[in-house]
Amino acid sequence: MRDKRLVVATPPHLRQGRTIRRMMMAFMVALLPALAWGVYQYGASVIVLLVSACAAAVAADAVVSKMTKTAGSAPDGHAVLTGMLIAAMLPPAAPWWVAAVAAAVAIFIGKAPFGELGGAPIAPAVVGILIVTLSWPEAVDNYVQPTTAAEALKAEGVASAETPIGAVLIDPSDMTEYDTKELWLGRQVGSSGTTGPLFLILGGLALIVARAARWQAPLSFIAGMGMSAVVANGIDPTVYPSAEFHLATGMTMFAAFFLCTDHPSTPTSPNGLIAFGLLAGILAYLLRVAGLEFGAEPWAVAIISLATPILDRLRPAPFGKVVSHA
Amino acid sequence: MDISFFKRGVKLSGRVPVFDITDVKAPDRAVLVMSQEAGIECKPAVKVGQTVERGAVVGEDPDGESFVHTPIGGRVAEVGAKVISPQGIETRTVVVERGDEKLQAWAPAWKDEQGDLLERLRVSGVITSCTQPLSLYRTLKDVARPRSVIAATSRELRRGIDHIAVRLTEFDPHLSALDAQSAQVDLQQFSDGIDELVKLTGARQIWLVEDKNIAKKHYEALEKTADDRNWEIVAFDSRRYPAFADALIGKRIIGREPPVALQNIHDSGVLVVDLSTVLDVRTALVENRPITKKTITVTGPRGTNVVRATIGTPYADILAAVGESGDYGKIILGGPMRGRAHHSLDYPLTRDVEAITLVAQGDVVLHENRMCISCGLCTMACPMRLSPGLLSRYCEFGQWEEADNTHLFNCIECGVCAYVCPAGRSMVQLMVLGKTEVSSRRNA
Repeated sequence: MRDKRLVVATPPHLRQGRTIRRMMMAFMVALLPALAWGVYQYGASVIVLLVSACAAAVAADAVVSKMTKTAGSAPDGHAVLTGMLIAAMLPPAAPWWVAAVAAAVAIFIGKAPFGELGGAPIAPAVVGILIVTLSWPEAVDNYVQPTTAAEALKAEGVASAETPIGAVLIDPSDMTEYDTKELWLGRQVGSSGTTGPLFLILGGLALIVARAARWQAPLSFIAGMGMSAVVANGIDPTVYPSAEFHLATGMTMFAAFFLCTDHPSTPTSPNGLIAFGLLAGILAYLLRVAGLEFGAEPWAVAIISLATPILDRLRPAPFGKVVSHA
Repeated sequence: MDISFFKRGVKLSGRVPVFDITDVKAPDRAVLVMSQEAGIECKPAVKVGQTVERGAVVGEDPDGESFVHTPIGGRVAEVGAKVISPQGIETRTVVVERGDEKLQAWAPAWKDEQGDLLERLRVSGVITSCTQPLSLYRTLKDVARPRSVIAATSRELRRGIDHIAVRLTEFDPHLSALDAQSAQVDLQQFSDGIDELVKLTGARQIWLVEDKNIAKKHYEALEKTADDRNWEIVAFDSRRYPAFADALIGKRIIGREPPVALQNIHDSGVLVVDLSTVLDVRTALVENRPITKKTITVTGPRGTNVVRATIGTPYADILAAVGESGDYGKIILGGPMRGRAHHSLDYPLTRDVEAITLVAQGDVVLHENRMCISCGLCTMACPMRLSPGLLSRYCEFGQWEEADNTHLFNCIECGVCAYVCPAGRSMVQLMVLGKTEVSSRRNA
């Protein structure tokens, strides 16, 4: 008898070849067009934010992996993706250290306490952004005109501007000044990587086609936001802007395609995802009209993320069984 | 029956059916593992030095449900040597060495030709490879026997089987032993087998389950017989795995989803067997012989072959017969989707094995079992509409009761969840662990 021992394993012995790393790469690539638009609009300041956020996330992850003696999430790209998401959500005029702090907080508080990738109840990037929003509101709520960004960096806070949502909140009659076509094309004041709705939609659709993300949550988020806007607009069109305005501005598309698709913090079942998206969309709309200029969408997603364990109970009935115990 | 009937599962490519069957000669030294079906271990029923006729019983389980027969007549050379089964369980073996010619005549499996069909089936070792290989007797014993007697009329009430579905192709689309068998099946033998099955179960309708991707000409003869004998034909797309799961075949036949918990869809009146089981039933009941041969698919670096081999033949001999040799990293007993990898090439063929799949040393990929990231790909792919990710976490952390309440036992272990999992989780392993733990707690 030969002693050679072979590899033992349980089935299946074939795998599709999907890995977490590839999934994260898909997200990064999908985010690139929107970030490129941000760089085109605001110049080097976006790159500064990107570099500092990504570097801080990777460094924080290295510290965590050293402390916990695990591989950490740098190899699978989640740390870098978190940094990219944070940079995309910050206004271009935000100081670089805010991005670094947000990324470090995201990893240390948003992710590390919950173990490996997969445990975080709220997307780490959202946690990072929300904490810096609460800590340094004036540094975060600091929007600038696209063309003046380079100068704005040199002489701090000179050419500040209002985002479309901020402007409408202050004076509803401003909404007539915005051409929705321009908004869709991304010619608007906003955060580094969230001002190009078309680029975000393009990236998001690519994610869905590549099956790195699922369509239910993004689409129902858009539906939730859109339907709320339609209802409010129907009640009083002079105060509440149209649905199109809401969908094209702020972080709607970013939240739909990049925050609602964070796997660990969203439900897994199709119905759960639809409920998640609808609730988050409605909540984001309510927060917007209640006066939250920056961060309505991350707040909404974070709050609804906490309901994920309950939404996850909206499981399909198993095969051959009509009544569910769920 | 097409995509609209079955949207879940995964698309597998690379199906190249093989239609030639190579015969592997019976070994001179047959190593008979006492655990021929998962979960049942027989006790050796012979002593060293004893002479046995071909087909004699050499192992019998305490419940009398499973038997091991010797495929060659001769002298018992060894009893009780231990080997480790693919399930990781230590089991005994009986080794028979070929004796002279007169011992090679078949010993009748059942002495009394007039015996109850089910009793005769019991001793012959017919396996049905539904979702899991199980003795056909065990599958049928509850349904074929009267369940109760109606008071005053003394009429027997049977649970009954209305439909028998005969799968003409493999569950795992990478295999082709059944395709080869169905392409060259002896129609008379097949019809006889069906007749015996109908006698056993009282079924009213026979269904032949075909693969859409196999050229019509391979099914021509069978289809003609089906026409003559009023059998129905259904076809599924084998590239969409697991289209040939019993539950999905049952759904197509009875028009609603049969209950699948505990993998007993017979309660819905459908018995799913494969073509080789039909032929085995004929061998057992018409020829009165035990089952000692098995047609399996052998896939290795040199390609795919279908071989007809004798139970008890060491794998090395089967591989040599088809010209496979080399430095293997993994030997999988079964197809790539459902087979278990064994640690040694020295293990002999058992009757629950459908295929041998070899993986070259350099091609072995070790998967990292990471934490579930809740991406939901498994939920979308699961043909039984379970939440495999959630179930795997329950099983990973020992929450057996929750796993049971989340329909763990509806899992058919097709492996689709692990196939799509980006975290490389050993989903099937966790499900099997959970099922084992839950059943042991139920029985305790």
